[in-house]
Amino acid sequence: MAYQQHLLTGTGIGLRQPHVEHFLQGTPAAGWLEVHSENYLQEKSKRRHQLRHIRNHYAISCHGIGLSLGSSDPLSQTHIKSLKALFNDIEPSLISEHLSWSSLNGRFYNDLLPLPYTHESLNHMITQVGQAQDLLGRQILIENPSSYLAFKQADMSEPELLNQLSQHSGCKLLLDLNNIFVSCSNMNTDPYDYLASINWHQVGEIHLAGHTLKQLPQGTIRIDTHNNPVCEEVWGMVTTYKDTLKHIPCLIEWDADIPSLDVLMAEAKKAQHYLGIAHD
Amino acid sequence: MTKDLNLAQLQTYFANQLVPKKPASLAELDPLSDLLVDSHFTPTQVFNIYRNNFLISLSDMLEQIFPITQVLVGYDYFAHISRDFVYSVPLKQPHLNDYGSIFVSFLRQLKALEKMQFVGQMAELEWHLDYISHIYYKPDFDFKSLAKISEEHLLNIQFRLSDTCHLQTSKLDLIALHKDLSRAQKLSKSTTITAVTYQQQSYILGLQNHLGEAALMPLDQRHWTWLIGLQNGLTLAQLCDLENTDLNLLIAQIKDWIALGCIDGFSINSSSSSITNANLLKPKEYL
Repeated sequence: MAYQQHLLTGTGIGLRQPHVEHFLQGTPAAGWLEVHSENYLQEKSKRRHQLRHIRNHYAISCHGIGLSLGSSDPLSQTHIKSLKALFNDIEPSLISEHLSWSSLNGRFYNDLLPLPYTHESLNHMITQVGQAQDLLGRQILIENPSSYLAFKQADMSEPELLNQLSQHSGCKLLLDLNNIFVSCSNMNTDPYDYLASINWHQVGEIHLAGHTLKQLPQGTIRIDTHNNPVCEEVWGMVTTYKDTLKHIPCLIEWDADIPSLDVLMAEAKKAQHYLGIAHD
Repeated sequence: MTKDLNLAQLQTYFANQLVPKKPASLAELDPLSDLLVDSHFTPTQVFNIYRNNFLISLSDMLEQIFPITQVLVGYDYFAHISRDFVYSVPLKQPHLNDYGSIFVSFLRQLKALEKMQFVGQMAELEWHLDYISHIYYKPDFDFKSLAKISEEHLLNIQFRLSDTCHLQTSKLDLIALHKDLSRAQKLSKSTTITAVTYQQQSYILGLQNHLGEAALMPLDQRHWTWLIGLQNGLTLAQLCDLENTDLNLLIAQIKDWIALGCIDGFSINSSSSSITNANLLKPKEYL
């Protein structure tokens, strides 16, 4: 089926199962929708069928969590094949993955695990992202992860690595401002220094989400749970960079303790307000 | 430990710390302290976030697929076995589509549940109900092609059982047990289950109902035998032979199963032998 090609404009929301019926029954005013690719791989599933229906009315971005691009394992050809079939079916406007690894020796950990920011990791990611793009026949956006630790082995900062990765692999960047804030808070670094280091010409999508504070004896650690509204500090980052961000597709992610669609849409409108984009 | 590990070595070390060889030894693991930049949190504290994400994401999925099994064995024991499962049985794919079926096999092999086979049976039932509920099914049985089949080929028809069907048998009335435990779960009520209460041979058909939900239907032994025969690719002739059944009766039943969505197609087996004791009728008069 040939869908109408859509550009991702304005603010989108993550499409999650509790809200699917709203999008099957009508067309809520979301700019665009993002799905987790791994939830839609089964061709004969209800979810895939529903997504085909929803795709008729919305631009879709497919956000992956399973390619494990940073793993020293080779890319899973089976997974690439399933993803390719999904992308050919749905014709997403963007596809994205993470600067992380999630499998080793054929075992998957269902989480985004941290990489050391070394030349070896950079070269490995350039190779893996290049291969994945060639096999999928599409450009990938790579997202910065939330971090709770940093390795002593480091040749560069995370934004430096992302810049170089995009320059040498031809990928674009998906910048998650909540992840930047979470990582910088946990590592005691300045999120604005991070933002200042990014090559914004390479940024093709923005994520905004909430996180959880966990009290430890030494202080508060921030955990990337996507189960809360976007925090004030992240809105502050949005405000500071609004002239740049308003030209980039922006997504509200909410993956746990999922609220009603109205709450999610209100959060998307709030993003439009902070970005200075007119409401629908 | 030296800080100069290559990427593969570092990931191997990280992964080994993520999954203890034995769950009880978690506290003994060295959380990469030599490899991490100093921060105001200890290496164990930050590493536990990754351990929790890994464990909780997979055990939450098991809780969602197996709510009744959870009630059956108790919440604490379920948490214990799901943790053991997550640690000892690697997830081999970057998605969770098949992980639940592996959990069913894991449960069946547990020594502690050796004398409670109904736990594995209930888990199997729940796994299939979950699977059935996720399949997209649109009734589109090809009646036109069926009507064109000549009389001589009628008895060689093999009807195909739909993917949205599951057949299971048990020495317990699993449907009643499932129903009672569902009720107890919804009311958040603790319930005492004695296997004796449910001792009754049961034949179960799990299927997707017209609302697209997974549903359970009790079968009698004859219908069960027919459906198992269909699943095994028996022809109409062979099905009639199975229970010495009148063809008319079998065809009427097949019509019902097509209407229920249990049968979604057919083929002709040209090599099978034909039946001698059935009352032959033209297919178009029946289907």
